[in-house]
Amino acid sequence: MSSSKLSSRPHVQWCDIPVDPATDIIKSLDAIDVQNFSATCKQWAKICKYINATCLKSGRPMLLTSQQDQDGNRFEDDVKTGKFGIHDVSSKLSFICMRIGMQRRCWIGGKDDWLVTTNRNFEVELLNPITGASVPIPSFNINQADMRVNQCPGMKVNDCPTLSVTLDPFTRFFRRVVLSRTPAHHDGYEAIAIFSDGLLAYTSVVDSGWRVLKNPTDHVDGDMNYYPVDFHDAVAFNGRVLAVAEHGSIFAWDMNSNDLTPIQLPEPQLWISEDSKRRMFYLAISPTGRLMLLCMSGHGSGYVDDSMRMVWKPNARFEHVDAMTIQEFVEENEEWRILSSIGRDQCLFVGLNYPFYVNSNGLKANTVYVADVANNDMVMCSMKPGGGDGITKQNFPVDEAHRLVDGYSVRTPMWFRPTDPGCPRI
Amino acid sequence: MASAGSGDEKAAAAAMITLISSDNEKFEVTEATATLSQTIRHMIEDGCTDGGVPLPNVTSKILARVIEYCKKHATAAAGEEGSSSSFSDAAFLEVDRAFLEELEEFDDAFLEVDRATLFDLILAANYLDIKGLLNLTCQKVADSVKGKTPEQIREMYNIVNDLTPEEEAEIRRETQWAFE
Repeated sequence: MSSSKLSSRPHVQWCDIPVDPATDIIKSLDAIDVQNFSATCKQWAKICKYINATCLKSGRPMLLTSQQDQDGNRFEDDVKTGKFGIHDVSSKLSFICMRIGMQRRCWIGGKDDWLVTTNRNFEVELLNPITGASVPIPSFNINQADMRVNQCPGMKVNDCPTLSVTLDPFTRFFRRVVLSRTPAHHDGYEAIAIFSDGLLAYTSVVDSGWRVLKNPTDHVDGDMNYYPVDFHDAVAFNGRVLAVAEHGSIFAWDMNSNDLTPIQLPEPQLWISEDSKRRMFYLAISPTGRLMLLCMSGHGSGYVDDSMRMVWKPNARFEHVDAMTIQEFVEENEEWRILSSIGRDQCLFVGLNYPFYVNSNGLKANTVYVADVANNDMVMCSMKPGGGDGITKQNFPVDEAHRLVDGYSVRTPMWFRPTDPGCPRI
Repeated sequence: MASAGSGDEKAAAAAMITLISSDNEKFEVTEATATLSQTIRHMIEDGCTDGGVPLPNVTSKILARVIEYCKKHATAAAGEEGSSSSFSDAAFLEVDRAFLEELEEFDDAFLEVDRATLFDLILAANYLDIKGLLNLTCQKVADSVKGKTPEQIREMYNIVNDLTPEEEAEIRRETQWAFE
């Protein structure tokens, strides 16, 4: 850098900015911004690497949490300012990030680079925190200016801190949105909303609103159903929505049919152990394309401090988590098979996010990582080395449980894994 | 930042220094103003400012702006220094707040420049080692980059992408996962 060169050049060469000012700039950026900054040109990439800037790395599983105030145990401002914490579980690094798109919004689901977010008015959108792109999806609130109005007949959004709707004859508390396809998918996004009291709703980029899935106990004549089957989790796979009910039964809806009445799959292998009387079910699709049922068991009905959350967590209200059992559905034989391994070099991440597998590089292998269970931000259920000989009823005992942030938090801990740009974005 | 700390320096504060830009324009400034630059402060301490300080890396256009910044901040620093001894606490706080607000307004207006000028200001602040000015200008760049994609940043700063898609992927990636 010399003055003669500078004055003679028609364009300012921002790439050639000296290391010291560049360092000054990078210091005020968060980990997501640093990733974007360093992907701008070779020189800036070099500087970021040289000064060891904290950079978000794609492809890694991270836990998103509330961001604690510096002075203590409150999170008052993180939703207002759009701040949140990102914890890289393989490198054990934590970052603070701030996104305009997260201001006055909380995530309620997500997949890859995309988060499903909502505000207190239940106006839902998809946000890519890396690029800042946002995509509106049908809202549950009819009072929005958006043209894509709520198309669930009779559904009303309630005015209370915990998100809920009224669909006669009940108020149904909101649990999560399962984002099974992101806007980056060639067929566009697809999502399932899970509420309490058996309410499931489906939408995709071609739908103008949310379509309510019929409950297995709904009356044929359309009479009010006072005893609906309640669901813990749902996935979308091969044109079907699959959901697990509170007692472990699995139901499937064909989304290409006009009649959204479910059929029931064969009963999984279920039992209740003496010690672990409470259960929480998760669904996933295995790398080989099979439906997997994960049963997290626990005991004790202690206090669970999630009162600040926008998301209702009725089923995980046990104090202690014990273990997980995993089974997969073998479609050819119409039967469930208990698994003693999810793959020696595999890890599975479940929670509010759409479940995903990663290679265990830097992580505990053959382990299910569960976000937000009981009073833990994350729990790891590991198959013991050498296990799998005798199949026990607790194949994946809880190995570690962590609480990363203290006190009440509005944001629900959730797994996040930005896509690797080197891989096709599905 | 208060340069008028000791009695010796106070006496010297009235001394004038001549700064010479790369295009040979001369600027007369007080020592208090000039010493916001660590680079010039060291030159003064080393006694090599007679006949003016040549600044071959800074044009007259940019030097004029830098001096404008230093004058304002040197005055503010001196003002603070004076007020702390002659006002009651409450009055001091009041004056202090007024100073800070005025400075903030000045800084905001000062940053209303095009990106080429901003870049030259950063280079000058870096070369002259003026911490406050460097922080101010770099913060402006950082704020403009926040929440932007690499493509948006390139467009904003007229940067040619010299990264191959593979290299860009490499920057974002560290571990690969096995299954989508």
